[in-house]
Amino acid sequence: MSTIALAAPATTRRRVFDNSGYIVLAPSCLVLTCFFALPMGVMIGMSFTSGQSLAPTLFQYQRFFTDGLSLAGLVRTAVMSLLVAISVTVLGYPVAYFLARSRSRWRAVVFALALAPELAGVVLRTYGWLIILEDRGFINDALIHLGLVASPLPLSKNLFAVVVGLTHVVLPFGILSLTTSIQGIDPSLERAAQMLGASRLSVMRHIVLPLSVPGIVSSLLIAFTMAASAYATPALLGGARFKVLATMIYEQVLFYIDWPFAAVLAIALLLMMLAISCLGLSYETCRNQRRSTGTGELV
Amino acid sequence: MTKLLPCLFWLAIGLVLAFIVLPIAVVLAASLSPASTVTFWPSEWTFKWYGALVTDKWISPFWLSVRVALAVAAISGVLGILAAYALVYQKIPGASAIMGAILSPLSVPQIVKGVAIVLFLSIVGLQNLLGTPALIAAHVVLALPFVTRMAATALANFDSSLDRAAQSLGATQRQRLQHIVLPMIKPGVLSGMTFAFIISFNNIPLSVFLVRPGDTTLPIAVINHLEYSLDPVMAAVNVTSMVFILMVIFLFERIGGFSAQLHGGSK
Amino acid sequence: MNTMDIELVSVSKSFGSVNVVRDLDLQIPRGQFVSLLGPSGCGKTTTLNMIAGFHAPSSGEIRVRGKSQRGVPPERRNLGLVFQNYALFPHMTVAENVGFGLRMRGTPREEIHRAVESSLRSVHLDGFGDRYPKALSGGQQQRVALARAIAPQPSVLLLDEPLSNLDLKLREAMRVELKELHRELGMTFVYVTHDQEEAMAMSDRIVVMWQGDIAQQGDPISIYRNPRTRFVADFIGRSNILSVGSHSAGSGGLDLSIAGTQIVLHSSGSDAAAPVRSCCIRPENISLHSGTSPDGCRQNRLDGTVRRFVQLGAHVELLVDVASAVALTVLVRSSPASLLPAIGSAVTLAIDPRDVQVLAD
Repeated sequence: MSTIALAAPATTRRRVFDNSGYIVLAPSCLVLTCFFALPMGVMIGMSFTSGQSLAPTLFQYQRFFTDGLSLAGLVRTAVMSLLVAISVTVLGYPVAYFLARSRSRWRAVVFALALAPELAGVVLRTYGWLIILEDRGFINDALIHLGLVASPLPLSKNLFAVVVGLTHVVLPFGILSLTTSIQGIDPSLERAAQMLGASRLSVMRHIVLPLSVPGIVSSLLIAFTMAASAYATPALLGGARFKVLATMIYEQVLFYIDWPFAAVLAIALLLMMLAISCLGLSYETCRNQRRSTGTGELV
Repeated sequence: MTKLLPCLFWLAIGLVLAFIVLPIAVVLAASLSPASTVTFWPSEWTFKWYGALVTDKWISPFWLSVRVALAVAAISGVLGILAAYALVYQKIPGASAIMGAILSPLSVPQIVKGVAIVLFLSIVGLQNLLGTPALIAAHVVLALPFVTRMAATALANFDSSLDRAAQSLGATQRQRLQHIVLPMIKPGVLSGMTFAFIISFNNIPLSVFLVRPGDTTLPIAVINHLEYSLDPVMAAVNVTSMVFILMVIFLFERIGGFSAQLHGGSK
Repeated sequence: MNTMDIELVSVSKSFGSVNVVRDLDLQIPRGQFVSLLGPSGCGKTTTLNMIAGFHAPSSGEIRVRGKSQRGVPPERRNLGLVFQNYALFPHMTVAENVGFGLRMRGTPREEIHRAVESSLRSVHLDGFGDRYPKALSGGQQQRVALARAIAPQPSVLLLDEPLSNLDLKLREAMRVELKELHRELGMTFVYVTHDQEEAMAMSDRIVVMWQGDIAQQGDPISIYRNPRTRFVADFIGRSNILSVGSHSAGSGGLDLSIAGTQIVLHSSGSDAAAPVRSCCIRPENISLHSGTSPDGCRQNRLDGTVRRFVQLGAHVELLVDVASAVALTVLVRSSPASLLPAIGSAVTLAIDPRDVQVLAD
């Protein structure tokens, strides 16, 4: 996350306006306090209560670790997010390389195609995948028609469908992130390698890919966090049997009306996200340290 | 071998692009096909599903989404400009910390934010805020970091020597704000507001807990319907929604001309 | 037996509707140090990129050691290229950078090691193998780039303005080193630059390019002494360029009437048949005699008034009006101010007829 350079014009500000900055920030702070800070606090507090009384207890947390379903949900969320992160990065890389290097007029077209689905919204795309993957959807319809299978393949309402759907949803962001990263690699490095006799494959293997590692890591992190916090796609494509933390939270709030437990699940999801962000941050600082001493390998 | 690699490369790109386009094309086809189950290529075209849209079942959530999104765009736009003004232009003490606080909601998943809000409102007895008011407030919390950051970037990129030139020509601070600063950051702010509109309109995870029966947004109405039926009206709803978003972008582009800013900023 | 390392035959290159290189014919003999010299936009870098293989010519052919390079990608041309920004691989050590070309050819590790040591020694960077490019100064990085390009022993070394990112003192030192390297390796060097001093100092032959074509080529001194066009006269060194109204054959040369004046300059050793539209005189070839005229009546003599002078340290540059619309720049060795003519004083200029160079445009 880049920091904005908070530098203002060097002219002297009249003292009359000294406090106006705070006044002007007040509405934003109010909104953030009432609809973010306080609710988060209340939610965290609520996770320490049992359903009956307000007395602090670790009951809900114990439940989380012992009821078997919650941990399974956590693991499922992590596995799904990891698969999505890998698919997004693998699928997005060729497109990102093209967008970063190409100067043909097709670039604008590919750029639009890669990013436009984001405007279509999650629902439209998830609905599309439902139609394609379900038992009476395209793929199965075509396979049965062509006599390749006797009964429909279970392509929807499972991990596979959710990963496909989420990969599709997250792909534009992965492509954007990878493109920016590859653009940061000096193109004359590739030319230099070519002049030294490297085939295009060798150029990719020895020069571009090693230098893309930071961008790849970044893309993996972005994709993971987006997939882990997704609700609609796992709900629709996962069905009743495939529960991830987001859908479990939904259930607890609106069906079981077990709010303290829902709070615990929400905190579990939040902690998972924060853990991943910390991982990313420590990778960045590790890299920057190596860079400044000039003796590290990957720069 | 040297010929093989470029071929593989173009093939990979083609497949990925096909993957991207596939579900959208499918939904488009489904919305125009007369069959009530979806077959690949419609044998004939019909607009009957689009006709079926014009019922209160879809129109009412649509309008709610539009109203909420407009309110969110406007409110977060104003708050974002004010915040950026205080933090970047005036550079008040503690600006980095405050900017960090404004950006902090970004690290919390939307569904978690939604749960927190609904829990909070129930505890303090403000359940009647659920529905439109809560949606607007929650979406503003969601959009504010983005809009503030875009406005702050626009302000940071604003050439302060223009401001000083205006000062040397005798313009007061209010005049400078009105005639120099605001017009120059307009593209950045407007793209932020468009972004806020889109993420509010299309939003699901944050909104699932904040809607009420009869007071629900379009995307949520759609997924509720999808829970038990896949009928092609959904296709028409989705396509219309997408076309609507495209029109909104087009409109904002007309007003703000922010594609110029996009081209100016890209490589 | 083909002694040409590189030949360009009627090579043209356009990008869209812009003609960057027009119908270029160029031959670079084996073992020579040839510079492509010209201002930005003259097509020299595009020409180099075509030789390297990054652009295909729009028409014409490029041959390396007699073999046509049509359809041959850069990685198979076996040419070395030193980039302007060095393009060192940041994630590899100096030794890995230098050894990269040999590694791509599948050379055994022992041999790579030896070749890397040898190349680093040639550029005076022994022992730098384990460092990373980031830890090196600009001059050192440039030498690594050089070592990397020569390690695979290419037939020709292409250099794309390699010294332009270095400061002046370093640049001058590197010129000497590059020239020595050329002598030591015996490799053909094709050097692209816009700095004419650099080209003069290092090249066996200079190819002056302008607007996509060759303006003049030859060894540095003959180009300096005998420029053939206004552009070359002006681009290489400094010149006074005067329009010639008419000319006639005089004793052992040409008498040139300077347009718009009564001045007639005698130029010796010029070809009467070639078109004569202007002439050029280098400022350092004009000598200064103030007061009464000296002897040596075979010299061209002009009377004029000093309009201004500029102290340049080792030299003094004078601007002398010799006719109503003609002023000549004169470069003389510096002396104490008392010995120099004051502004407005009358001076007599003397020019040897051999220093009056006839131009075709």
